[in-house]
Amino acid sequence: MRHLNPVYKIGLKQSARTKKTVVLLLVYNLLLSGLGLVVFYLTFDRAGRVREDVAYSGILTLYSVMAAMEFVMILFIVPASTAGAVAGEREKQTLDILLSTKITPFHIVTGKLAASISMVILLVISSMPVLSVVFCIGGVTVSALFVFLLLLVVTAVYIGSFGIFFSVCCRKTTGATVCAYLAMIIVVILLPGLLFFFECLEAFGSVGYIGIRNVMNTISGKRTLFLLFNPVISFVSMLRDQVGRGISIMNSIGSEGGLFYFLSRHWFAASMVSQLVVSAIMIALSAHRLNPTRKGWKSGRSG
Amino acid sequence: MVRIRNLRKSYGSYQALRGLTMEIPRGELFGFVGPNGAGKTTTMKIIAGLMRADSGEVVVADRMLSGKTGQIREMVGYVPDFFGVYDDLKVQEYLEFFASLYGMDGKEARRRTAELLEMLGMTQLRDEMVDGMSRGMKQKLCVARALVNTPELLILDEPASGMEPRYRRQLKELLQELCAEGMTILISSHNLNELAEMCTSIGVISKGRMVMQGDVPTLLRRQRETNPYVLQCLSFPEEAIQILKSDPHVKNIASSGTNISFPYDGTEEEAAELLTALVAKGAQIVSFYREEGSLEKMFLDMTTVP
Ligand SMILES: Nc1ncnc2c1ncn2[C@@H]1O[C@H](COP(=O)(O)OP(=O)(O)OP(=O)(O)O)[C@@H](O)[C@H]1O
Ligand SMILES: [Mg+2]
Repeated sequence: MRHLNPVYKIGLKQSARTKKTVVLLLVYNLLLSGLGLVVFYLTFDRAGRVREDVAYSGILTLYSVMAAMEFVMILFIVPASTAGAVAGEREKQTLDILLSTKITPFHIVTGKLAASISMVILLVISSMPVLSVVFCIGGVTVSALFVFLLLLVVTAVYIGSFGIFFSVCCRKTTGATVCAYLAMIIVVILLPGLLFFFECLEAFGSVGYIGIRNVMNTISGKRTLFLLFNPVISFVSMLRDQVGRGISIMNSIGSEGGLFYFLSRHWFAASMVSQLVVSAIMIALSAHRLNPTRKGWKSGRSG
Repeated sequence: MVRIRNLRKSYGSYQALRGLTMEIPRGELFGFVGPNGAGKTTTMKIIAGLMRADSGEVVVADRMLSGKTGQIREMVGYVPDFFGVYDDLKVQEYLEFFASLYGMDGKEARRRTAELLEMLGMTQLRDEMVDGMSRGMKQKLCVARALVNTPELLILDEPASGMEPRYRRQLKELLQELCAEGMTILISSHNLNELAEMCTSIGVISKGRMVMQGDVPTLLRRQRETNPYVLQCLSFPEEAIQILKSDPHVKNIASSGTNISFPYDGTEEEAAELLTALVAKGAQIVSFYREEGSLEKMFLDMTTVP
């Protein structure tokens, strides 16, 4: 095996030693299992008593809810864990030292990101026993679980690449953290929110009133392509593929044919690829910004 | 090893470097002195590839310093004027990490780390946590770290500012040793005596310009020539004073008690003749000497606070 990126290795070593990691693991799994128990109780125990039979479709609900929970936690953990990656080095005054060595800015950026992603993977793997409740009862396949894992990793890379970018641009970790969360919120909430808003306007314009059904029916066109960059939609499309539930956006855009038909069938894969492309661009930008001798208008700010 | 021509760098509207020109031949131990804010750190960062100059030419080891600094970084060691250390790392791990940044594998990194710890007499601190160490220790560790890739050019920005005398001496000896082995070293410091003792040449920078550069003995001699002669005498008759006053090389005679001092721009032979004449006129002279040159005086003469 060729050398592992040393920045990645040292990042792992450091996070393995901080108490923060232990606390994070604990809180993460407590939250997840707590919620799992509640949903479990609601779907089986209570439902069983009220209706005198067990709704096995509840398993799918349980899976969906726990997966969503895990997904949302990742969305909130990644900005915090990546924002400090480079800004923290700058605060500790180790960044100049790092940059004066042979390692390239690109390797610093990717090493840092990989270390953060590894933490995410560790969290997800640590939660497997909790999640496995779902599999004990049946209803969800192991391959579905791997797809879910893939989604989490891609989401972490995607959101993390924004975190790293702001970590490179901001002098302080605090500033970078704020920016990283803002970026996450924009990508996750504002982007589909705005689109939905415009769809509503359009629906109102054509039919004269706003109703979910007519909005869904008019959803169309190139605008929806932006949703490829939204992790929540990716998550929902994954659930649709896995448990057969989901929203009908994909169905309605599919009727436009051509590219849109293709997207409606392979939304999940297409969105994963789109998000990875954006991540690659963000990583390249970060590496460029980190280069202290790059040409540009802000070259004196490295110290 | 390092050749800088007309280097300019501004922070916003403030010009930190205003056409700096300097040259450090291979194998020199070059002392870099100047008042606070003169631009030493800025210059060193540019040479280390950590900052982009606005204009000017920097050549390190016959390679032009421009966009691609990777090759140059590989042969430069840089000790910044602060010491960044990581939390949660032991001394050995810290050094091994930097060794791995230069592409050494585990075994090689361990070997090099042990070598460096030995070199700096820190072997017993191997398992100490880095962030718990004292300032001087951290500085020593930073020097060790900068040597990890056996650089051809070592840049040290005030490396000894927090070190006790014993460490300073140790560092001085280490640097002289490395220099003797062929390493080129650029060191900035505010301790002029220390620099005068260890450096082979010195550059004085003021307001972003090099005001003087040369090897230490030459600089000291040149400095010495502007120093006054001092006469210590038991008695000094009026005739002797007349002789002194009439000598064309003597300027502004100053006397305090039994001491008379005057700047003198004649040759040493002329000074000797002057002394003979004074003694002939009955002056009882105990000592007659030119004040010693000192880097400190030169520094104060050459530089002004920006
Ligand atoms: N990042 C920066 N932003 C703005 N001004 C700066 C920056 N770094 C340095 N300066 C200014 O540039 C000038 C030169 O700074 P530099 O650090 O090179 O001086 P120095 O010779 O190393 O001083 P010292 O002996 O105090 O270390 C100073 O006046 C300083 O205020
Ligand atoms: Mg300085």
